[in-house]
Amino acid sequence: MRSERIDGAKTPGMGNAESFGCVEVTRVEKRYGDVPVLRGVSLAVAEGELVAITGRSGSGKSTLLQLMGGLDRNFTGTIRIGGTTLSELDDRGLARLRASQLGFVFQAFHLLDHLTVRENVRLPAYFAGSQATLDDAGRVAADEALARVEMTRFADAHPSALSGGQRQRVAIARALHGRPKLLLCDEPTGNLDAETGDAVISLFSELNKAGMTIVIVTHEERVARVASRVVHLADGVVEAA
Amino acid sequence: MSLSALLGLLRLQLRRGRRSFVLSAAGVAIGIASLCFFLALSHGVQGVVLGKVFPVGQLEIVPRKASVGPLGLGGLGGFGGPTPLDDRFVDALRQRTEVKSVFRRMKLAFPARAWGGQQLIGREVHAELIAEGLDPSATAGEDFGPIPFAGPGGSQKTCNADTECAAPEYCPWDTHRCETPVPVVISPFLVEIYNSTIAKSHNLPQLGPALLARFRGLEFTAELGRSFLGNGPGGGAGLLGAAMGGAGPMKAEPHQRRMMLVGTSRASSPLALSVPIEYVRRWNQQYVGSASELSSVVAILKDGARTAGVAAFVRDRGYDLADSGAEQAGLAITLMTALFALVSLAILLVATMNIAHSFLRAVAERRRELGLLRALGATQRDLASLLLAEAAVLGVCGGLAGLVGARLAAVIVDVCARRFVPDFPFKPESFFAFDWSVVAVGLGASILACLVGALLPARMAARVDPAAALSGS
Repeated sequence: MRSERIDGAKTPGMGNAESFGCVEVTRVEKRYGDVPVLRGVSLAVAEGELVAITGRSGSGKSTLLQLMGGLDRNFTGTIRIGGTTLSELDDRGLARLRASQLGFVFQAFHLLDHLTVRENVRLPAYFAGSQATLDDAGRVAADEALARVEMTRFADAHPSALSGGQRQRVAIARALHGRPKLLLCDEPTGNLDAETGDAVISLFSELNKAGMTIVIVTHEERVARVASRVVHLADGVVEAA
Repeated sequence: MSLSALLGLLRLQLRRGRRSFVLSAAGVAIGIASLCFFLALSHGVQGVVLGKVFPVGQLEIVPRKASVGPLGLGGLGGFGGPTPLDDRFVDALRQRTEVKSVFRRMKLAFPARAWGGQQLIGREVHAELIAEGLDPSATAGEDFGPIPFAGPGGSQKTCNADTECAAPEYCPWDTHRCETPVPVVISPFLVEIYNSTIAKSHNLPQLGPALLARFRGLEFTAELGRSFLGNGPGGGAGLLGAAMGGAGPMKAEPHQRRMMLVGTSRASSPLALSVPIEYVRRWNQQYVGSASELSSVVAILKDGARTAGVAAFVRDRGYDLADSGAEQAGLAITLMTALFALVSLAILLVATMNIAHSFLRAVAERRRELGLLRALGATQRDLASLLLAEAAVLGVCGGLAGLVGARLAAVIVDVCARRFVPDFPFKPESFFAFDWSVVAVGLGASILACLVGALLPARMAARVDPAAALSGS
């Protein structure tokens, strides 16, 4: 594990953009009204990395994750995912990028209670633009994703019948359904007890070892233990951890 | 998002919030039910009034009534009174492109009386004979029996008694030559009036289709040139004769003819028996010496033909259109329909606003979910489509429920009308006509109302900021 300081003035490793492979954030600024949240943030995440972004509440780490996921387009600077500049994409292009290359895991799980676990996991398939993902192949992919997080036996249950840890596993399975290249996780252990949180962190570690690029926003130190790199954010500026 | 993906997602979405879905659909259903109820009522009543009471697509032309205008001559056809209706005008009318066919009517111009019915209703009925001649071509395609509705006929064999003539011919005592009875048709309107008034008040059997068929072939006797109301001075037919256009003493002695009811025809005059026009022409010549003046001419218009041109032509020639009341009845029905439709549309508008409110609330409640769908790859258009598809399903369900509701209400009204509303002429079995146009308007209005109601919420759903929605801010 290594820690680094990255800010607008100094961006280590940005000389060869292609070498980053996965995510490039360059001089990104974001304001909510008059309040600056991100101030010239630059960050690079290479393919296969597991990067933990830490910082206190209000430091802008969740905002940075949302910008990286294309959920918010109101910012200045440049964000590139796999060589694609987000600001150059329209709504449809961004949606396609999210459906095909990104997976999201949220602190609040955001599972739909009126759907079964399997239906929740299959939700991304409706936006993937491929008929195959809606047919049996989609069902198989959902079951594979559930198997990967060891939740197969709960496939027909509703989220309300699951524990917090189980719900987060289902949320991770949903994020994995489309076989994304980049997994963006916002406080994934924030609503879990220590033991369950450790299990979820172990799961991320396994996924990363299998080759998945993961960015985790967290304020928990234990996540840093499995991260290949920790980026510390303070007052909208990236600092060394 | 593909159509199959949209339908799949729609299926998942509709699974939740069934209660609010049912409530919203009920709101729509009430509006659609009232709209369809009134539309079907209007169609049904229009069908009876304009189809049976006032036949549409035909104009009855009559001689202009003599009236004294400002110069004392208004309304007169030249100085000799109203222009008489004759065959030349009929020929001219037939040349009009709007006219499909024309048939003539000629009233008996002298009094007559009739009696009969013993064999069928058990007693003899006596009445003044009110009859007119009708072009047999007017009844083309209609089924009559046992003899056709055609002009004078018969073997003309010399006879002294009916038994010497082959049935159904008989032997008139004045000519002593075998003749076919005079065929008579009556209007369904007359049957309806008989059923709803005369039959009930005189305790006589009503004429349904079966009994009416039995009446075919009913023979009765007509005495021409004699009235139950007495003869006038000089051997004329008195007041009745004068009222019927008879001028002075009759030119022939009264004599009897046998008549035979052969069926009903909508071409028949509503309040008179109709016989082939050649009989009336011959009798008028015989009794009053005039056989050319027609009492009215009926023009059947081609489908979709405008009446204005024909009406102008008729007036230019010095004739009038008979006021059948159809125009006023049609206008009254149209106004009533418009009024009811307005009330229904107001209800539908309220339902639309209710739908808009429901969807707006749903969008607010599902903000996080919408943000999640955006994070999972939904475009703004996907979310708008999803909401509009939900609205369309709501519209279909509400519309179908409304149609069923309207149909049930119509059945209840019909049952109540049968039980509690006294019979009247042309009282229909059902006051409602649920044809495809009612179904189409009902479903269309329902879907449209729901889509309009969901437009703003769909726009709002599409504009949900996923970052803000997912972070709960």
